[in-house]
Amino acid sequence: MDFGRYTIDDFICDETFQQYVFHSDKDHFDFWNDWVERNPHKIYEVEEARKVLLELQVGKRTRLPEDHLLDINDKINRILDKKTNNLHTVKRNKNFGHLEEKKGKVRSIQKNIFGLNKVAAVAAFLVLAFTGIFYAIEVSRDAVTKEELVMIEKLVPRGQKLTLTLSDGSVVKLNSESKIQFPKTFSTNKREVFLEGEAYFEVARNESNPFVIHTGEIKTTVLGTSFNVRAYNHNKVQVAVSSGKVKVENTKTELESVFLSSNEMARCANDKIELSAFDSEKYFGWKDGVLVFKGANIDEVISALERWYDVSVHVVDKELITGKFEGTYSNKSLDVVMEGISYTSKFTYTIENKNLTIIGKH
Amino acid sequence: MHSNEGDYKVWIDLKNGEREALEYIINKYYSDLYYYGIKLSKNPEISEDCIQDMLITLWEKRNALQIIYNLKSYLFKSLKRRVVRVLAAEKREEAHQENLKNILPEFLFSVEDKIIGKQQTQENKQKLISILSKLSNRQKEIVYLKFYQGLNYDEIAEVMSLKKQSVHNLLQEAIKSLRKNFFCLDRHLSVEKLK
Repeated sequence: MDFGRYTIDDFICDETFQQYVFHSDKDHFDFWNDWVERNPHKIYEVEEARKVLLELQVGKRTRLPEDHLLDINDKINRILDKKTNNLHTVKRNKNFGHLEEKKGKVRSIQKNIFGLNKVAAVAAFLVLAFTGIFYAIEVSRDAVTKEELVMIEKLVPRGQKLTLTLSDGSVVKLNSESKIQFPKTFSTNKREVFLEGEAYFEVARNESNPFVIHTGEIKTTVLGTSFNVRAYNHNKVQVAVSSGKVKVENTKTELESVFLSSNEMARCANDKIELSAFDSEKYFGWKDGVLVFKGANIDEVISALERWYDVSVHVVDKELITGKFEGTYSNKSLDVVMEGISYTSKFTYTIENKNLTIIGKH
Repeated sequence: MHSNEGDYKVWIDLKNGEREALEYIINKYYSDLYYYGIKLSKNPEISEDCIQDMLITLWEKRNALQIIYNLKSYLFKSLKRRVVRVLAAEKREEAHQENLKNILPEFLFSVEDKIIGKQQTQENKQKLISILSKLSNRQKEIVYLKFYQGLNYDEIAEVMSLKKQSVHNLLQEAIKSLRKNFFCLDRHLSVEKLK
């Protein structure tokens, strides 16, 4: 295809170009991103086409409320149940003419079984066996619905970390001061968790059942992979991928979504998502007990120390502490870390119980 | 090739008599189908009844079901057929007429369709809607399926029983008249800027 001869309308109607403008496919995005860069003489056509497409681009598609959908689901299930039961009642009346069962009553009888006394239960057992298959399906489905409703919440305080295994076999390492909510048992068509703070996920692969992490408006969807989500502040979410493929999107704007591969990260802030490479030690170190400072300023150091060691940090003459901090500390005590970072820096410090005081000096 | 692994699994589950397959379909596609049904029929009740019948038939006829390569376009197409059937029956009753060429009412856009970019002013939205309204019914449906429902050309071709190339051509004509009538002002402005 000779894209160099494309008119504005050609660009607009090209499906791969649409995917580029809407960020809906990474390969096509990469292709057009590169093409546009290499063909500056087409910039006018490209920009006009982009403008028109963005005007036509839909925001979020309207979705009916969840309870409405549940009602529809119930209604259809009832209709199908009724049809099945009618079929069975008819059959039974043929075989056991003396059992005068009215149509559609089968289910209510099944439900009464446990309320009957022992003698009645023996008699009732025949009915149960007769419609046993349907009863079993009912029970297991109810059980699943109830299990889904049981949400578990784990909160990790400062100074601690926690490793969890979820019902699908996925492993989550939660960093200090983080919270995660997940269902006791995942449903068969979605695996959703809600995160505040930071966690490293090793998601069990299941292509038909995507794993979704909600962090405020940012939604990270994955099919099976390892990656790190940092969302201490919901207005600033970072997702770093160590292996596999991940999709990050902003559910509010929905225009913004990116696909990440290994060693790529997304930074989401102010309704924008930026892609970049990242230093894996800096982002993944914590999960192996390694505290890492790379080009960190004093504020970043303070919040990392508070979180890691559960201390309160007080700073005197902070404006005097201007440099960047570097250092890697594998399972070290606060004393060792402070000795290390104060070595080349302009401050002194004291540690008393859970209080760390840092004093800037000239 | 299946457009979506989850949809492929649903087709298998459906074949195996798993009721949860219907739950999945309702959860994933009901809303989109419902609004498309309303667009076609101008009647929420018809839309709801048609989808309900369609899902029940899908379940009851599952053993005879051919492989579904694309669940979304399959459902859209099937719904459209049902809506046409219902409207045709109504018309026949009303007027006893055999001429059923224009069974579907005119395809209309409204502000609620959100078919319009976020930065638009109310005035521009109205203007864009009135320009869209001048397109042919088929063009309107293509614009709707493409930019509102997010279907690709293959899916639109399937739903509307058209060739993919026709979908492309019809959209291109629609875009041309849209740009001529709506974006011409902006274009002068950006040309000014470039100078």
